[in-house]
Amino acid sequence: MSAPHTPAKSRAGEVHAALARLRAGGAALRQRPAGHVLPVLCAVLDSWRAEDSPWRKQLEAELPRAAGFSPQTVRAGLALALDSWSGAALRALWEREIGGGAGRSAHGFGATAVLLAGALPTPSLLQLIAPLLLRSPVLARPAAHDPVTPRALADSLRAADAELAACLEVVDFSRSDSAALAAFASADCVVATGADETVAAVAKLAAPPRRFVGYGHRFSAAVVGAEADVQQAARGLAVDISLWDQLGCLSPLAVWALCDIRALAEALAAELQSAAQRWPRGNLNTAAAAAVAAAQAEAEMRAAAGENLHLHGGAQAGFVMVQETGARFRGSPLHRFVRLHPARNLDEAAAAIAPLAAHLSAVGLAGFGAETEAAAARLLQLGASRVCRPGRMQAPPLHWCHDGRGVLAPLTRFGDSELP
Amino acid sequence: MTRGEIEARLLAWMREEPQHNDEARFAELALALFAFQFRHCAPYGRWCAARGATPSQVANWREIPAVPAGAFKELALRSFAAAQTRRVFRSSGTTLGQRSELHLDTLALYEASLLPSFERGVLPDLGPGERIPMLVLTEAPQDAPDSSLSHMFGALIARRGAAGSGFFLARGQRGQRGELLQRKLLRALEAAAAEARPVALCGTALALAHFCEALDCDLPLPAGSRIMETGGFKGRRRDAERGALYENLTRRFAVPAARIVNQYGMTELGSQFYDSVLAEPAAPRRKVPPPWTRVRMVDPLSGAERPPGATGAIEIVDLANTGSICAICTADLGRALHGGFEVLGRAPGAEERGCSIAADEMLAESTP
Repeated sequence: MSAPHTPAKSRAGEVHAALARLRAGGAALRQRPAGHVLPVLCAVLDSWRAEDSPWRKQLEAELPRAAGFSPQTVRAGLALALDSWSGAALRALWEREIGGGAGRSAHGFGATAVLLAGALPTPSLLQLIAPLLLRSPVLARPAAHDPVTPRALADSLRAADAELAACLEVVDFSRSDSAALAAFASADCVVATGADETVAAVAKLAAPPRRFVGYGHRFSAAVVGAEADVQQAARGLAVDISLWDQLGCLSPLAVWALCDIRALAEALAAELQSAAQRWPRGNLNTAAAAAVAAAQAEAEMRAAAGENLHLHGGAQAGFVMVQETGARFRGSPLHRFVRLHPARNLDEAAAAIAPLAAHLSAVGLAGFGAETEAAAARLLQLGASRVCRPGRMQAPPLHWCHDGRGVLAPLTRFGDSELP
Repeated sequence: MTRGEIEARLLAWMREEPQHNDEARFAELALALFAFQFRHCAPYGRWCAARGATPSQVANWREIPAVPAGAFKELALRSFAAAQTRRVFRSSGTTLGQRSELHLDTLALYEASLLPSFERGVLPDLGPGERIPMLVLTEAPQDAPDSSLSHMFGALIARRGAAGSGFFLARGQRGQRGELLQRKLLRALEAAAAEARPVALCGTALALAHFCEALDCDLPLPAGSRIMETGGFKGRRRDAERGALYENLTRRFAVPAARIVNQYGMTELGSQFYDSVLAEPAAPRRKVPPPWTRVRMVDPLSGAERPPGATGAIEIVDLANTGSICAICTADLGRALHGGFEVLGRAPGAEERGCSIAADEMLAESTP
């Protein structure tokens, strides 16, 4: 038992100083026409996409150790995610969200503080680039498991535009350094990602008139319709489940099968096995290993009690798949542990997801033929902010309206002039 | 050995004074109980057999397969006929409606087990049979018949509660925890303070935290008072949240942290584990297992026992669980410490690696 720990030396002073520098630098940045910054950031993003990109190489070299992913997973995850993240896509995002109509102006805030979380680099990359697009300087607190991405982005900015690079600062501080967190949350705009409780705690500190943008925990799922090409769906789902070890909120925890579930189970097990060889699962810490082992043992107990469950893989195999007997949603401990549920129709699958709909992010959808559009609409209405085909779940387009809110719009002060 | 013989020996052990950590007796009873449960709890027997752990193959109690605590949400794990069920204790619910259940055909061992552990952990400074007002922030047993915690406090008040003891949560509706009877509790605490009568303020961590927040002034309790808290917190930063609670309790009630005792228990277990702070004030704070239990920290994947001080999954063999399964692997992490253990929670002090979350965590309600 110990009382809450306050570090002997708070880093609040460093945070305040960084914010002051950024606000001063931001004033200079805002003197530049908006059209100057966008091309620089488009070029920077393009520089990340090349396979021999030094920034990608930096991530591939350092992230496995920091985050616990296998090097193969990092390489494949980056390749897939960055495939569509081009400079042109960034420009299209700008046009889509900010483009502006007559009399409409769009400004970033004096300084934007971004509290990063998790170990997936691409969401962090976009969260740091987005305020810069709006000419708002960024103070980043890196995630404990990914100190690499902010540093690599800063390096890539420096190579392209020193003045813009000076508008990104990184200050790390302990989660228990409440004074530093309060200083961080004194930025004009505060973005927080992480567990719901972390987001709520930061929201309290970043009270109005500051802008607060929070991204809490989410989960994703998949639905495979009766008309699915089972092999193709399984191949895509294995990618969605395996990359980033299912830790990203766009990775499905459960799949509902309206098709031949046994055929899908066999195909998916084979694909997950193959994926585990190509992209080995990363390290499991004790807590994660305990959760995976318990979930597997619970399924084995249910099978021993007479339920017609089928288990594939195993904790040591690098994945676990449980073919369930009913549609009811059950938990997953992540780390490539997926449940495959039978469903008679989309209504049944949607009803199973419904209790969790407030936390729903993406749904992978296949096999609905002519009914695809209607099925997607149903899932979007249920609460999903994205519906895509299996295999693309971990590759959201830049313009995906993250959690239904957009990428740039939440960081923007819009203004309308009604004058001629 | 029949179950009746096992229980008779356990009851005698629980009533011994002083109690002994008798390794040979524990090993004999544990293996006998495993053999009984293997035969009489069919799902458990089949699961063990599939793991190559039958009574003829298991020679050491450490080899008894431990059922994950989550299995109690899925299955009625009882080693007796369903028709003989006398009581079912249930954990709090989740949005998906899954609750752990402990099925009992007798409460004799359950009640015999809880008293000596509580006496050692919370009342070690009282004389034999001495009573103390116990002000309990849970629902009364008759209002929550499926709450093991309410039942436990009912049994404790009956044996060691002085005049003024009572329950201070109103009956809950539709499975929800009841409201705090704040005025009634305030009157009881003020009366104790006026009479300089030490009390035992007991309850869930969340109920105590809410009470602290609701009070608009401090209410120093008489010297000799103690607080017992149990149950979890909403957040993942268990240690920090418990630390903040203890600071608030000390400020509000003038009860120092050294007189605040955490109880580690769960619906699936017949026994409870208390902090050592009152029983052994000079020793490090840790949970002390009663003699009829064993607590091990294991590697979750290999099952190998972790050395003292190393973090592992908490695995418990509780011989008080005669009617269900005696070996349980909890969802918590911990580490062995000075003959006892420390509970670290599910993800101690760690930032998560991803933005996804296990659905059961997302949905878990805060009520212990």
